Amino acid sequence: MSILEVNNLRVYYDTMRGEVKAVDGVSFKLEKGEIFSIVGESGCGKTTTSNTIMRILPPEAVIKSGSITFDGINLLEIPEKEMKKIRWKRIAMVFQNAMNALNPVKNVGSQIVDAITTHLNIPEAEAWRKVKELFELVGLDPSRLKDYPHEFSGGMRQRVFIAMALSCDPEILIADEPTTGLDVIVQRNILNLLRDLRKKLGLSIILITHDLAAVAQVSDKIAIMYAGKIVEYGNIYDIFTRPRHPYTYLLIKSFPKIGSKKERLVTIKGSPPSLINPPKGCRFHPRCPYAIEKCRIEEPPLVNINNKGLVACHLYDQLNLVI
Amino acid sequence: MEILRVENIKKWFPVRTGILSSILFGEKQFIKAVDGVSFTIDEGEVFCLVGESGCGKTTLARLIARLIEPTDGRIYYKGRDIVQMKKKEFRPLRREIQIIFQNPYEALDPRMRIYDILMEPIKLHKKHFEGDPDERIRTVMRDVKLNPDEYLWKFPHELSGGERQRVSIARSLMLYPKLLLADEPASMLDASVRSSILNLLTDLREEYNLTLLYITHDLAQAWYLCERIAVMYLGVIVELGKTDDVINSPLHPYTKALISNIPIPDPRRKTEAIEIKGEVPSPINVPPGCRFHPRCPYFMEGKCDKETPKYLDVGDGHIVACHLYE
Ligand SMILES: Nc1ncnc2c1ncn2[C@@H]1O[C@H](COP(=O)(O)OP(=O)(O)O)[C@@H](O)[C@H]1O
Ligand SMILES: Nc1ncnc2c1ncn2[C@@H]1O[C@H](COP(=O)(O)OP(=O)(O)O)[C@@H](O)[C@H]1O
Ligand code: SF4
Ligand code: SF4
Ligand SMILES: [Mg+2]
Ligand SMILES: [Mg+2]
Repeated sequence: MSILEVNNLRVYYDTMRGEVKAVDGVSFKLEKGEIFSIVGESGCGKTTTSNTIMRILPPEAVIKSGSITFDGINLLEIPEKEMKKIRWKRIAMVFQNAMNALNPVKNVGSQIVDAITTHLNIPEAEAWRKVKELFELVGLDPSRLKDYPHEFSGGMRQRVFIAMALSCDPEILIADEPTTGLDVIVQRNILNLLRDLRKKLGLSIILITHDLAAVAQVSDKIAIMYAGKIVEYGNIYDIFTRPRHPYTYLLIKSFPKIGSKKERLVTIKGSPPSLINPPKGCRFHPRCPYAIEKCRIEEPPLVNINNKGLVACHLYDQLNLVI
Repeated sequence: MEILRVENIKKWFPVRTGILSSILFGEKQFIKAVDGVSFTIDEGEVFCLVGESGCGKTTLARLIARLIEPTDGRIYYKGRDIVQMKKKEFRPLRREIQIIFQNPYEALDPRMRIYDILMEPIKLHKKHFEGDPDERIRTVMRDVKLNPDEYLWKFPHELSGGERQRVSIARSLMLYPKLLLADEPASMLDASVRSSILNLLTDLREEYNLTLLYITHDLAQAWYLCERIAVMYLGVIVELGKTDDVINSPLHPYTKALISNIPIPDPRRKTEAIEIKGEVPSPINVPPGCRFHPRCPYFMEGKCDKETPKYLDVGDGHIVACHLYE
């Protein structure tokens, strides 16, 4: 059963240079208890998507269309007062670059206590008990509750933010680039933590990242985003073994894969487009080695393939892309 | 033939402390960024330094390019000690030893057009440049796969990250370098652009007969590009050897952990990651004995926390510093 459903979401930014079509027709479903990853290169609209779900967009952002259905409610239509009952309490988020956002002159424990008491009406002593539990839950040593942020490493600070996000027992956790900037060993530890939390708490998790390799081991489903759109969606086995979209395919083939034969890496010409004037037709066409005339003119719809996944490519049933 | 020899090189940065703490703690404290590193690179080789952030890779590259002075140790380029060399003596070598930096957004002067950026090395070494500068600029642009007519008159901000990194590489090639120090040139680029930089470096190495010191935190890149790998941890090399030896039969517990934690973009291969506790400690308070001991799953009390492990060659130049192998 899906717990969250995003439908045809369009979010643009009004800027001096023009309208940035940051999210331009994004749809996906988050099933209860799954880890769903949104993967795409920087600037493709991932953070905008998650900020829209949380309804914390900056004033220059305009929601052009779409719905976000959570528990039968369209989050884009309810008043802020109602959203306050959902934000943090039922849907919580770990922000991108959160690691540097702790107050340096306040101990870590009391920062989480503050976060809890702002959202929940409970006495401070109980909040402290809660923080101690949360520390244990995310693998932090409760004896360090009174330590200051600078005494915590990057990975530990990321755990603090996960603890904070979990403080009101949400049903959905959105983690925006939770491992970016961390070293591989720490990255893996954080991803394992998310996997364990899903199991322990029955959480549904949206994991947002630019790192395709990182999510292969922990996700159930993946959406590949390119230039404001989801170009492919499916379970990880299908995506990584039998991708349908040329971008997904080329991206997977462009990673050096230790342990397999050393072959020349596949490259993708050019770079991601500006979202002020994105290419017409298929947004990937200027970089796509398979592009045909139709790709330049007509936008490919996101079609369902045997109920196994979605893909937006005119040639999805003609190309034989096997990893 | 050996082109570079680094001998027990050290770079300690003094910690800026207040008067009070220097009274309280007595002796001066140091960030031991590079703390006794030795290795050699052969001419034409691609040699890789791998390690997590903060282990001293960039400092080491800057030492070799002589952008900073070492605290101790020797660096020989083609048999000549460049640490002791006078500035004037080193000048011609500056053409031969070039460095490419990680951040393509900071490496290029934003006020200069690409043409002028590439002209600069020629101006600096006028006496040693023969031929037509414009022709050279165009050739190098084509070598890094940028169309000169399209790009030469642009400013860096008009270029994507990948294109800027190509310009940085082009600049480093202007005067036919021998030794290229590439400090994480692909790390800040988008995934779809990264592989083209890796392939470009592979091609240029052939075309220019380069020796490449490639620096990365990503073992997968090291595996793809390099013939030998040195794994660094907290200012020292813990393991060094041929790429296949180090990747397929790692010896040092840290190398083993790193390899098992590499994310592999293939869910069919469920790798069992070796769990390593904690994170890299500060290079100000380096753990005694083996630097990895507080995190090592094979830690032997009384030994690993007391004695610094010596380098041991287990054969074929595969070197490891760990008490398990003594
Ligand atoms: N506040 C803003 N004003 C204008 N443009 C923005 C703003 N925030 C993001 N953008 C632009 O929207 C696009 C998508 O950004 P973002 O959602 O942050 O992408 P991602 O998280 O995938 O890196 C980018 O082109 C970015 O430059
Ligand atoms: N100029 C400097 N002054 C003081 N400390 C420095 C300086 N440069 C680097 N360091 C420190 O030395 C250590 C190694 O840094 P660096 O060589 O940049 O590592 P890497 O490139 O492997 O990430 C780090 O702890 C870093 O903070
Ligand atoms: S629609 Fe055309 S351009 Fe777009 S990915 Fe498919 S083949 Fe390539
Ligand atoms: S010397 Fe001891 S602590 Fe260091 S890596 Fe070897 S076993 Fe581990
Ligand atoms: Mg983002
Ligand atoms: Mg560095």
